[in-house]
Formats: sequence, structure tokens, C-alpha cells
Amino acid sequence: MRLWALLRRATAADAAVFVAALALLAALLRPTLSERELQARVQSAIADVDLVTASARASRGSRGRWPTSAPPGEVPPELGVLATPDGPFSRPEYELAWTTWEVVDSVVAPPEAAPPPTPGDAPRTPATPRMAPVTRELGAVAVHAGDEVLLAELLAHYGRGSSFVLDTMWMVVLPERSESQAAGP
Amino acid sequence: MARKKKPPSRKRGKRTGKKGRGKSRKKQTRQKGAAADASAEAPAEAPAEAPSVGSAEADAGAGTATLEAPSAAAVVDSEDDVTVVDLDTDEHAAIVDLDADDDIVVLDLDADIDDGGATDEVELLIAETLAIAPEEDGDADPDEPAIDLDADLEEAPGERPVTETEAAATEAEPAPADSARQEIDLGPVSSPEVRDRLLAAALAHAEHKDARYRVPFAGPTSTARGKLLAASVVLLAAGVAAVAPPGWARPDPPAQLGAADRAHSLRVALVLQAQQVEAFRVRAQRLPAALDEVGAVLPGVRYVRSGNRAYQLIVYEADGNAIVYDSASPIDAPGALGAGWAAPEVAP
Repeated sequence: MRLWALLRRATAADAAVFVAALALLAALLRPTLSERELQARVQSAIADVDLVTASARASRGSRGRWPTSAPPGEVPPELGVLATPDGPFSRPEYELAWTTWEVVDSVVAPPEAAPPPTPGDAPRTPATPRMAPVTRELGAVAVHAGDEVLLAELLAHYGRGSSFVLDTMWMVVLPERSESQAAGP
Repeated sequence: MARKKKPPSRKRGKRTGKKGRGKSRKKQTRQKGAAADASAEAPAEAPAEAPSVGSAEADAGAGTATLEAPSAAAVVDSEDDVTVVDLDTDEHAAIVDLDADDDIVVLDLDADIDDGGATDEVELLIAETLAIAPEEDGDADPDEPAIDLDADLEEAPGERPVTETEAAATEAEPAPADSARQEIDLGPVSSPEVRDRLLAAALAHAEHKDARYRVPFAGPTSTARGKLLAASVVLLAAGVAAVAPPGWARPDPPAQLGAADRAHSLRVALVLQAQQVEAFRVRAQRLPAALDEVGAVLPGVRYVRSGNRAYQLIVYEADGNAIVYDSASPIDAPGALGAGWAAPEVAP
């Protein structure tokens, strides 16, 4: 009742002061509110990337290979459990993508079989081991978003050793073994 | 005041005699046994002044009275004498048939009857009864029993018995005498000078109040102007804070992509794309004609084939500088790709 009495006696000048004070308060609180909103998006993206990574590793462990690649926003067939309306592939702020990449490693190959020596030839030197290229597949989780700050936050979180930002995409290449597995006995 | 005691059909009258009282002339009429309607028509007035009921005609000069009204009592007056007719007395009763036109009783008012003082007693009793008896409503129930005149006499004159309803009302209501007894202090009597001074002050106050309303509205007052000025300043500060918020109101800045981060990301992307080309060459024993044959292609990477054994991958930085990966100077594939690979050296 007292507040109502004050409002009834308010003038246009009082309203102007009130609006100006609200504007100042909003201007001062806007950075904090924006930061909180950004952190919420970052945490959501990190959680989604970790979820997809764990699911892909589980699929690789059970099937012996990584899930097949899928366009951004689409769930690979091997990760069907994540195809939910509120799943990681259905975020309005960004789109997740699962991709696979091939890398070539050089491995030591057995020496080639030499032709049998003919009589009178000098004795041959023993064959040296040689390097042979082999391919292997890697999995990667990509986040497509127009928010550069979000991509930068993801790069800072996962490190520059295994992730990079290209245009509007951030990608992390999953190692063969997880860190927990690498640190294990 | 009329008394009803007898049915109106028959009247019994008694001439009780003549009472002389010198030269004074009185007329007393008593009607008893009249019908209820007749009682209503005859207004209750003082009995001593009430003339004979309108239905009776008296001829004082002849000393006779003629009763023509059917319900009238036998009340007869003479010029010089007062005659009281006691209808209850059987001794001198005379039945008069008032319904018949020829039932005319002629009373000899001049006749002197000696009743031994009974007339005086009756007159005294009537006078006391009329003075003491309470007033009765004209619409009284005809079946109501006659009032015991003796009982009335026992009460004090002028007093009326208090009913139970009146007693309860008297107890419920506060005594008005108590409030009436409260004294009101009207204060000292003011002098004309004081009154004039108070009147002048009141008039000045009223004039002041009127003058406030006569002032035309000339825009915001100084207080309102001050408020508007303050609002403008606060609004300006809000604009400044929105464009460049102060440090204390600004949280830690979020991560930003620097030039080094962008260059490093481009180099890693070139190595990853080159790995796809090398993987294709291992499988197909040739170089792809375009990146579309490889399958996985990173955005913004251009592929240039130079001969059958060499190729280049080119990406451009934001400032237009090109970063080139040349297969002629191969870079060890990041064998640490499985355990976190570092950015290889790429020829600019």
C-alpha cells in the first residue's frame, strides 16, 4: 500500500530517473551476464564433446573401429543412443560432427626376399630393415559454431596439441588411447 | 368519554331527579350502554362540556326532551336544571324503545324528585371516575369488560401502571438524564478583538490557498528540472558503461583466438589434410586428382598437384598470407597423433 501510494505520486521526472537508473544497472551487469551465458555454452559444448568421445570410444572398443563419419548435426549410426531431442547433436548454439581421418605411419617392414645367389657371386651383405607405410584411422569431434569465443574457449580447454580451429570449426583429434588408458599399467 | 355497558337495542333510562344549583346552568351528559359505532362517532371530549349527543333534541323552553336517535342514551337537559340519568339504576328505570318512531319519551324535567342525596353521590362518583380513569382507544374491543371504577380509585391519581415492556425498555436505555447532566465547557467568552483577529487570519489563509491555484502552470518546477537533469546524467553514464564497461564491472575476458593460435591451427590442419592424401596414395598407389577423391576434406584447404609424385596444400590466413605444405619436403607424420601430436614444421 505504501509503495502504491508512492507510485501514485510519481511524476514524469521520477519515472525518467528510474528508467535511467535501470539503464545504468543493466549496462553494468551486462558483461557479467554475458560472461555467465558464454560459460554456460562452453560448459555445455565441453560436456557434449566428452560425451561423444566416450561413446565413440565405447563403440570402437566393441566394434573394433571408429564410428563412421557423419555431417554436422547428424548422429552416426553407431552412436544412435545419442540421437535424442536434447542430445549433443541437437544444440541450437552449435553443431557437433563426428569424423574419421586417416594417417600414415611408417613401420619397419621385413626385408624383401633376395633372389637365390648364383655360383661365383660375392657374398651378399645382410638385408637391412626397411620402413613400410601403413594407414590407421583416427576419430575426431568437430564443433561448428559462429561464436569465435566459444571456439577459442574449446581450444584453450583441449590444448593446441590435438585440437585446432579452422574457419568456424573447432576439431579435436582423438588419440589412439585415452589419457586414462595411456596412464594405466 | 363514553362508557359502554348495555346493548344498544334497548335503553333503560332513569330520571334521577332534578338538581338545582342556583342560576348556573350546566349540562352534563352521560351516555351508557351505547353501541360501539355510536361511541366512535361521538368524540371523546370533556364530559362536562359535551352537549347532549347529537341524536337528542332538547326543548328547554318546554321543559321536555325528545330522544330521536335510536342509540342515544336518555340524556335530557333543561334550561335551568341539570338532569343526570343513571341507567344502571333499576329503581327509576324506564324502557324506551328507540327503534320505533313513536317511542318518544317525554320527561318532565321540571319535576322535583327527592332521591335522598343519591344524585349527589353519583355525580361525585362520575366526576372522580372521569378524572382518574385512563383514556381508552376509540377502537376498543366491545367485549372488553367494564372497568372497575373502584380499582381505579385505589391507584394514585395521574399515575399509570407500568407494563413489563416499558420496564424492560427503561432498563435497556441509558438514562437521558445522565447525559443531560454533563456539563459542556464552552470556554471563555472571546472578545470582539480576538474574533476579528481570528477572522482576519482565516481570510488570509484562504487567500493564500487560492493564490496557489491561481498561478498558471509554467512547466516543471525546479525539483523536476533537477530530476530530469539527474536522469540525463545517469542515462549518459549508462551509455558509456554499455560501450566501455568499467574494469570492476567487467569479468575476466574470455579466451580469444590470437594470430599464433590461428597460424598453429592452420599448420595442424595442413598436416592432417596431407595425411589424407598420403593415405590415399598408399591405398591407390597414386596421387588423387582432387581432394574430393580423398574423402575427408578440411574447409579452406587447396590442393595443387605438381607431377605424379609431388603436391602442395595451401591455406590462407586472415590477412591473406598463404601457408603451403609441400610433399617434396615431407614432414614426419606426427607419429604422436595417437598420443597428442605436435605441429610439424611447415614451409611457409
